[in-house]
Amino acid sequence: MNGPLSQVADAFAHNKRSVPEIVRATSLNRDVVQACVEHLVSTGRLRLEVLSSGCPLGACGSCAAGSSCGHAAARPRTSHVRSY
Amino acid sequence: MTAKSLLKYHVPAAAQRTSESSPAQHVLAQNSVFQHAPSTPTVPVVNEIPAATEMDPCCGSPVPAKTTRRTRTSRKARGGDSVVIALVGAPNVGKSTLFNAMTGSNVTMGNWPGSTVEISHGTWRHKPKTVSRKRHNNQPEGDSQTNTVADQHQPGTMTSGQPSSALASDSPTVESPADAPTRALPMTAPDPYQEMTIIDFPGAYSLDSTSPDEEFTRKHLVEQSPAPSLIIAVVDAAHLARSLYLVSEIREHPLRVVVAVSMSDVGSRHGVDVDIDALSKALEVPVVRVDPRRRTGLDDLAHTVRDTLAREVPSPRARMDGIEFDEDERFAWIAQVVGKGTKNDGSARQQLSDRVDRIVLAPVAGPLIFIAVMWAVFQITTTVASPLQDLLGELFSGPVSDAVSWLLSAVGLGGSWVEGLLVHGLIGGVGMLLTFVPLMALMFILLALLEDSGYLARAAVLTDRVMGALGLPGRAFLPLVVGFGCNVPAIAATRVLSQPRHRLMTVLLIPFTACSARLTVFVMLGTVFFGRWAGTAVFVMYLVSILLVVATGLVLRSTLWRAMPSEPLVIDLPPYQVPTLRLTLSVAWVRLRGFLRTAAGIIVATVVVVWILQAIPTGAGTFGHADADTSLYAWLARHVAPLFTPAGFGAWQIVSALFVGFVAKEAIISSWGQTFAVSGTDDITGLGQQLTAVFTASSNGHALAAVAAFMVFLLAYTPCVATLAAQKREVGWRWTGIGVLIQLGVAIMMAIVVFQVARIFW
Repeated sequence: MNGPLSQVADAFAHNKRSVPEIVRATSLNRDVVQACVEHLVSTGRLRLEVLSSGCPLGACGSCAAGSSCGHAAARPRTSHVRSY
Repeated sequence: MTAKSLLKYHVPAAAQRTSESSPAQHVLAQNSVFQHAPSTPTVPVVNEIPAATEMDPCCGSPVPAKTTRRTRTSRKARGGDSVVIALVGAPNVGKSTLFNAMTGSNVTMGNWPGSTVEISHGTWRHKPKTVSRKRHNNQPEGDSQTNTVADQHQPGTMTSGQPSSALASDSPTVESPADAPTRALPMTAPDPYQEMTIIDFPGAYSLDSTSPDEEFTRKHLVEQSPAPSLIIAVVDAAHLARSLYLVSEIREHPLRVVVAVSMSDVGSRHGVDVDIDALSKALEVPVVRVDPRRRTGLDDLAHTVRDTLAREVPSPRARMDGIEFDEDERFAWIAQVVGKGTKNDGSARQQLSDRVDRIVLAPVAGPLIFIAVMWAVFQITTTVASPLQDLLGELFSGPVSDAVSWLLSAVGLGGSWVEGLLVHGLIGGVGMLLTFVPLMALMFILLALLEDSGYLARAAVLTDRVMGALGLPGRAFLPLVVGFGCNVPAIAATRVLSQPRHRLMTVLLIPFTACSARLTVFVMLGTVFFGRWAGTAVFVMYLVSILLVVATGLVLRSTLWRAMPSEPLVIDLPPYQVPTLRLTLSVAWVRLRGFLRTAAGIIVATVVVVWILQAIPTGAGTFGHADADTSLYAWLARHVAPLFTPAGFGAWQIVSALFVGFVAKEAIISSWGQTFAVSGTDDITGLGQQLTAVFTASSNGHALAAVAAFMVFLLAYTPCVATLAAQKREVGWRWTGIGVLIQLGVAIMMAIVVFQVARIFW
């Protein structure tokens, strides 16, 4: 018998791309799914990244065009983490 | 297309799928943190906590690295003769607020001796307003008055007023949880007015020792003897499952636990309604609702703590059927507890967002909606901005050019090469590009609106799904999405990919994404040649760009890299929200500023070089007064133009622009502006007429087919020099060169195919 964590991991592996999709696929409570995802992140099995547009997170220093571009674009907003 | 503030989870490289393992195993089997509950836990019954005295500088003990005495604490409070309560919980559940509410000002803060973990401890002198003995569902009637059940002097037994140091020196024996229920570990009911020492443990999600704080919590709760008399586990009503993981681990041990549910108001706002009695039944420990900020629930908590201290230590929780006693079992237990302990789990509140997502992320409807939305963006851009563009074009070709010519005539430079450079070069070239400012501004605003509303995050999911279905690495879509804004930062973003092959492949695919510079040229050509269908034409190029990325990726995978490991991911979608004007305008301005800086910098330099080449005559004429058709610029382009005859645009005016586009794609427009300004055409209408004539001539009357072929070539051919520099930095000259060859090959092949097919219809 698979527990919720295995079910969430299964859903990951079966191309479920968002928490709502995993909730639908597993029929688990959303809070439980969210907790499983956070647990996978906190234990190092998943990595959390912020997708950015414009300049990379490390600003000009980490950008290949840092020397020629010369300006910083908008930094990604990170406050939109879904946290129900 | 861009997507920001989008969270992505992926399995790190170290946890990649093996050929034998199932997908689920892939994610989980690599886990080195999977932990079974300890088989020989300590039976915790008494309080140690000499911390107060150890931390007290007056006692000669090691002085904490950072000790703050907020108030004087009594020796009794600091000493070991009080009951010791451990206050534990995940970060941000209101634990410290509860601690402050319980202890008031009787608090000492500092590092725990021998560690860098900072803890606070204080004295809880709660004086109940009414001494009510509230019973909990798991507490049988009559138990609450039990004072003494077993020998008060045996190790592991606590009596009110007994010095904790004495108890601490007499640690209980270690037993398995299964044996624990058989031991009677009662204590006398504390005096209702007795002080209790509260220790505010650092926030910890679990006892898994993944951080110093968690290690500290694990050590002092379940490993080191003696343990606290009782544990108050604070859980967040709004995130019950997350908070309960720590509780599930604590409940694997025979420990006195009281669960304090905080943030019920936040939970209610999220539609989560915790049923305290049902939760208590499910957890098999007392549960109290508290609101530390409003100081409510503290009476109940005090009574429950005293009741619980007077009871036997509860048995560890039972293991879930069919699952090993590990983290998967804990989540199964949590799921069961959450199911029983909440009347409303918040799903109703999320239904609207979910309902929308079910439509916009549906396998068939989702991509269609995405297509419709992007079509609308380009259609609105071209139709609304067109009048403004005409206005700016007339401004540059009319008053601005006239004013500069008048000024130059006034200083005696009228008709000189200086006038040619300024009027036909800078104003003709850069001015033509600047006419696209309203158009670009509108497009950036619309994309920012989509981004701020949360829709672009969904678009990213759709893009990723398509790539995943075709077997491309899921994570690679991140830099590819960025590439639709600008290829240069997108190539830098490939560093987030852990696999070198993924990085290399993505670096080679990024130049096929239609960056905003290319979109400028597409919009210009669309406006000139496709009229009211301009938006659709630009949109089609957007789709072709995605198809090119996918098709090229598939070809590379089936040829160069057949064994490409996959990296599954899940995206934490931001909630839908009404876009904010300030943020939308801010994002749009940042992008527009980038466009203007490009125009002011590299485009001006390119315009000067193009003007010089156009000013050098190859036949009759002098420098600055050469006919464009006989200039060095035209002469050079004519040598290459025949290569593009099969694609329908083998004219020097068109091919020369492609060379200029190597510097920056926007420079294609400025170079045409210069070329036709020299011929006497200064506005966008005149430019359109000239271009139409050139494309018609080069394609033997199939102008639209030739324009379509040119747009496809522009999309696929060599990226700008900044992108090439970025590619070189990431993958070196060899692969950059291979990438250029691939792009040129794909571009010329597709352009010929498009022209030869399209000429049948157009």
